[in-house]
Amino acid sequence: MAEKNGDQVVVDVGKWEWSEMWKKEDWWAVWLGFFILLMGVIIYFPQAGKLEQELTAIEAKYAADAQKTDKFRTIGWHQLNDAKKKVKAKDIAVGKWLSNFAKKTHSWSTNPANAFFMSESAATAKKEKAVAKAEPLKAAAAEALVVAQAAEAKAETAGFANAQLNEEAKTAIANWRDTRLKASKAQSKTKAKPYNQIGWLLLLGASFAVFFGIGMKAMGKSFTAFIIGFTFIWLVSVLSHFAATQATMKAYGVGYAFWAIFFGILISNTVGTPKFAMPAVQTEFYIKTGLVLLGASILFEKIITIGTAGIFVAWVVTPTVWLVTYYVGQKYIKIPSKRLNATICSDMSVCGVSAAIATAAACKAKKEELTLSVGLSLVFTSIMMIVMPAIIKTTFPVDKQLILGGAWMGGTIDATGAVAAAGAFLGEKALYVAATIKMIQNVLIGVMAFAVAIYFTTRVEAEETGKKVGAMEIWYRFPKFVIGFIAASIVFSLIYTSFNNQVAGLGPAMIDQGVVKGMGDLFRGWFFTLSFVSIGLATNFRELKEHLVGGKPLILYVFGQSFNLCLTLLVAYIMFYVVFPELTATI
Amino acid sequence: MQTANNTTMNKKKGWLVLLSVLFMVYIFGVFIGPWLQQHIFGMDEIVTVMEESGIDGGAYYYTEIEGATDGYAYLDQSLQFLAPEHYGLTLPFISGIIICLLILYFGFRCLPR
Repeated sequence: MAEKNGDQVVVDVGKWEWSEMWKKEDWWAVWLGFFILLMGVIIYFPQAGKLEQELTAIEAKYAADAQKTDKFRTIGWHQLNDAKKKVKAKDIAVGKWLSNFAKKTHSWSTNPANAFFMSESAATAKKEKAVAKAEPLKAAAAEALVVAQAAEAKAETAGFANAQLNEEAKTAIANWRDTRLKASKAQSKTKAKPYNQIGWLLLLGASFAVFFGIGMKAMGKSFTAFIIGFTFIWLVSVLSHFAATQATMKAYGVGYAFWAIFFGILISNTVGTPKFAMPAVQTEFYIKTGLVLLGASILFEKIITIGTAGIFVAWVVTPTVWLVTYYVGQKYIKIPSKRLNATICSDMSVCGVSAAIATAAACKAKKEELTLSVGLSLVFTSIMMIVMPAIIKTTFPVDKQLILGGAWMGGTIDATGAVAAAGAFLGEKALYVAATIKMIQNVLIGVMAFAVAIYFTTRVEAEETGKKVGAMEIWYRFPKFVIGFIAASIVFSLIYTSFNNQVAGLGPAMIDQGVVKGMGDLFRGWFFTLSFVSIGLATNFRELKEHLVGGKPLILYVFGQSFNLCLTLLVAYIMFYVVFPELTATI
Repeated sequence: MQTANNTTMNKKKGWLVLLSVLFMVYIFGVFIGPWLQQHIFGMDEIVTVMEESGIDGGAYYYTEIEGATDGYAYLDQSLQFLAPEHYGLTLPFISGIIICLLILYFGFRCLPR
């Protein structure tokens, strides 16, 4: 039956009425999420024909060179890859405008004003400094290309049958890639331009206020009270991004979710949350809308990227760790809240904050439970980001550091940013493997959230209420926004595959680099920030302290992560070096 | 200004704590954090790599990281060109997905009541 508890991340009522579809926030989250995605489709899909032509031309230009040999990756292979990556649907005028419109605060290190403003003279000075650094790197990359071309030509003359010449070409090409990568990173910093973000932030805040205000009005709440309250939530959200874009905080991997909760809790437990802000403290509404947008980036074709070895590391280890940790949490550690147990399991085994959000919403966890999970993840992510590459460098055999090390880090470090940082520290290949394993785990969020929603609806809630759960009761209780989340994932996965069937690379260009990065992602981060600020503003230390008694969540996290580290390493070794060594050799 | 709940502090103390914490955060970000960075084993090197590669250590999702896009393109093309027999929906690959779903199905059924 109906539950009303303001503490929950998501609250659902056990009864169905058709009017829910325009009165309940679950459905409004779906409508608003799909509205944004539909706008993305309208803006970017007309580009499909043009991008298809571009990709076909690229294939025609480089494909022959790319497939000259299967002994190593030729220069043509890399050029084909580089050229395809540049094809992006979001590179149109509207896409660029949207990117400015939804941009978060800029990076800054010591001068806080740089987060919002940079003068013409400061931009010119920054640009000149970057150009001075980039020019020699560019020249070195051009030189390395000439050497690589000569080495490849030699190997080709021998019909790619001479192992030594092949090896020399491989080394020269790898050297060219390294210098080219450094040059292109340095080159990207030469594009420094003056900016004034304040106007954009005001416009974005006003747009969000109206966007969510319409939903609130439709749900019978006061539009005016919401708008007034939203100004405060928005200010704290901007402050959170301001802190997250500070250079040191970025280096330590302390992202916006932490700062949003931190500032929210700090305000509510010191000067108190202003009463006028309370109508806009709508954790569930923001989180569910963000999750529908997240669904669009869960693309099932992505999981084939790293082949069978990767699927075993990401999709077999992860649910095993989840279930074992949950079991131990209930049976031996005796975590009092099943929802906290589930949220920590997803946070630790799947992919940190995004998985914690999805699971907390799917199992209707309390806001303090989500806060605690995010906090645990943050602490361990920062530690693992530094410790794991050091362990790999000092203990792993040199030939296994990049792939085995990358897969190990990708499967265990919670946050994607930290995975990329740790991977990049070991080398480009480790970065690619680690980031790809993490990406495949990201795709698992949808499956896990659905499984958790079903489990809590049919088992946990049935036990709590003492009622047998029939098919209709499952439907009543099932968090409806999950339907929007899964539907977005299925629809965009199908579109992605159909684009790729037209010409290889059209899916990433249209969906990844179009609707997802050019629309959904621009707003998703902000929506999650709004929800975390709301969680913080409605939390007090006493409630949070209750969950920390006995250190059980910490024990659970440490157990789960230790098990995760052992199992991931074992499975990664078996899959990459025992079962599929020939696949590993191609990476 | 009326406040909603949570705090038991008086106004003056509340503001003092709030501003002190914000100041401490600033001090950590600008002075203590960078100093610590040089004294934690390996941290400085990781930060240099992050700055050079433009990686945001605070990113939460693969779409926020350029490395994921590059890695996807690199590995996808590597498999397609160099090991096409391992690319796509191969039998071992499908078995991996089925095993995952079976683990979830039986695992959730076996969880303690």
